[in-house]
Amino acid sequence: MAVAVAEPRIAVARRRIVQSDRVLVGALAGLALIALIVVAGPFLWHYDANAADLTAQLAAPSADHPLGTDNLGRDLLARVLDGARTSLGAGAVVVVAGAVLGSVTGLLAGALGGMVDTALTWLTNSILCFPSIMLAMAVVMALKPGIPAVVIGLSIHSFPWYMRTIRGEVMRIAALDFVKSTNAIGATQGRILFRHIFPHLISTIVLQMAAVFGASVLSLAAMGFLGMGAQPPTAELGAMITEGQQFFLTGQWWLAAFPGLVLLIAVTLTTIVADRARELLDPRGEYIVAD
Amino acid sequence: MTTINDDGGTVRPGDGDAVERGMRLGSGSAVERGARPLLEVHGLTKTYRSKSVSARLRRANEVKALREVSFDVMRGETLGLVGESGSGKSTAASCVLRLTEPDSGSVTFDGVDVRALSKAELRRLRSRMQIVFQDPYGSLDPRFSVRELVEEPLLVHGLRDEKARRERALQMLERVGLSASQAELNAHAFSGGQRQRIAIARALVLNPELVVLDEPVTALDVSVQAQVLNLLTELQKELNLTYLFIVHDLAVAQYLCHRIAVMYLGEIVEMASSQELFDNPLHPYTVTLLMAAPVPDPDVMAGRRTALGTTAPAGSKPGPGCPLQPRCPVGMNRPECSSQRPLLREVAPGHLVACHYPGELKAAVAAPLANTAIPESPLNP
Repeated sequence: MAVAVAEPRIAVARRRIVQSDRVLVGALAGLALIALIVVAGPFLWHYDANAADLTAQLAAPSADHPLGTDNLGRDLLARVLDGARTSLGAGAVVVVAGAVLGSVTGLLAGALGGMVDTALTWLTNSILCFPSIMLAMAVVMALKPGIPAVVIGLSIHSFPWYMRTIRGEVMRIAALDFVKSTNAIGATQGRILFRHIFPHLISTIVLQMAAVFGASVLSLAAMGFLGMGAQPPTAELGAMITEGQQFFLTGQWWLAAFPGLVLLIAVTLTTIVADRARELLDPRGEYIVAD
Repeated sequence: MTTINDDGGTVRPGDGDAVERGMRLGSGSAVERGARPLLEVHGLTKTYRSKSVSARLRRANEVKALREVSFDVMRGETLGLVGESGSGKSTAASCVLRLTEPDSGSVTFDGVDVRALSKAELRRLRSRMQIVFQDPYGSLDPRFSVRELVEEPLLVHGLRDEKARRERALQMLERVGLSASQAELNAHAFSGGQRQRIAIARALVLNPELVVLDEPVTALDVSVQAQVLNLLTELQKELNLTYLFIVHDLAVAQYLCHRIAVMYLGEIVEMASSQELFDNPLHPYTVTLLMAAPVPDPDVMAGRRTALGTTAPAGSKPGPGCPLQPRCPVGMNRPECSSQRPLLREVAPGHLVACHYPGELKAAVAAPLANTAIPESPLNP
């Protein structure tokens, strides 16, 4: 027997707001388009990102090479597509790793309290003392230069932000009457934590992920720019900007401009989404129901 | 008939003759006579302390929420705990269900020592003792539908059969006055009174024996209060429920309770059957509380005097004497009241009071009280 489940009013109200917010819809559509192009890049464009054509070095944008070529004659469009995949993909990994690590530690600290909470708070405070780039550099020094080391460093730096907000939210929600009421009916701590507290944290986590994504992509690019991230010949937006800037003075502007533009657009769009989402998904769990 | 216990020893309510006390309850109550109380609470103590170590050492910021609170509740009975905010009545309720761990004292539910139970045993016992909270907005998870909220206790207590669970939940919802067509809605589609009905359905769906009602109608409109109170009385008769009713509204207490315990600063100062307490209040605090309850007659209200100082004098430290002494017109200048803490003793069958001079304040302010609907008691001429 199929039971028609009425959609909760929150969801209806939210959908209505989402539909009426053109900026948000535009930004989400733009991000979806970028993601699609980046993922489908190899099928859309026939050049190999690492194939050097020494007959066409530093060629200006043309029909054959829409974004021009670099000093080794590599097609810039292919490299930008490839680089965006590296940068945005690594950014996504940082976001997911940070969210998982941060949620687990945040739930532990908030639910258990006591020594666990003290230890985790102390640890995350120590991590937050360092700027993200410094921490990533330290990890790169300890391991070896390259994307994986940078991703690890940035993930370590991003999880305390999740942990702190989640810890606070767990403590706030745990003191609410509906949690006490669930305790009073005899539910296990696990059920209370995962069925009653965690669902209220999802909006907080998503919000944090959107906020961290832009910053992570930029930090990755900065590490690439400093030569500690992606190593040649890997295409990565930050490293491409570094390599390209030396040609700015000699007039080959496209080498740095196009990777920079893609980075700018992607980060701006995620920032807009994060900003709008903050208004929609009120992290305090109180809902604005527009009637 | 008045048998004042001159030796001053504490009389635990459970020590009295249960049969006789059962008989003294209001007519029409379904109290089992001669049986053991369903709930026995003895010497419950809870102190909230500051988190800082230095404050703990100085014993600063200590709040004694409960001091040696003892009472019992018979099966089918409603015991009211009344008192002003901060008198410890909610803490007492919370400790009874072990939602808060008391510092000391015992809670016995149907012969089971609740405080000795392991976490798993306590979880199982929770199906037999439930609570309805004051705030119907905060006590229901906003992400759950009404049906899910009412089904949850069944699920938690192992009713795996989805269809049976659903049927039972819908049946319960209909019993409290909601239709099955509303079951898939979220709790915020409902008004405060309807939400409290949902909370009641959630508490009763497991067929508990004891239900703690923690000010269940305080957050509701007066018109809705009566509906919810009627529902609670109906359900009590139907399901033979035992209520521990936390309340600060005396009119509500009189309406629903068989017996009433008055709390002041974490202690029970007077306990008697509802009728007896209203007819013959003996503790100065109870008298003041009754006089503070508004009466729809401006002449009566104008004729009343405030018997107690409204608050304890600033900076006063609780001394060795009666906690009410700094505010009490009876005990203010009496050495006994400032040096010796009065113990709860039985001054008439089933009527317990913690006061060195029970009944004196009533005599002093008898005139304005006599004008109210509360009649003079033959026990205290």
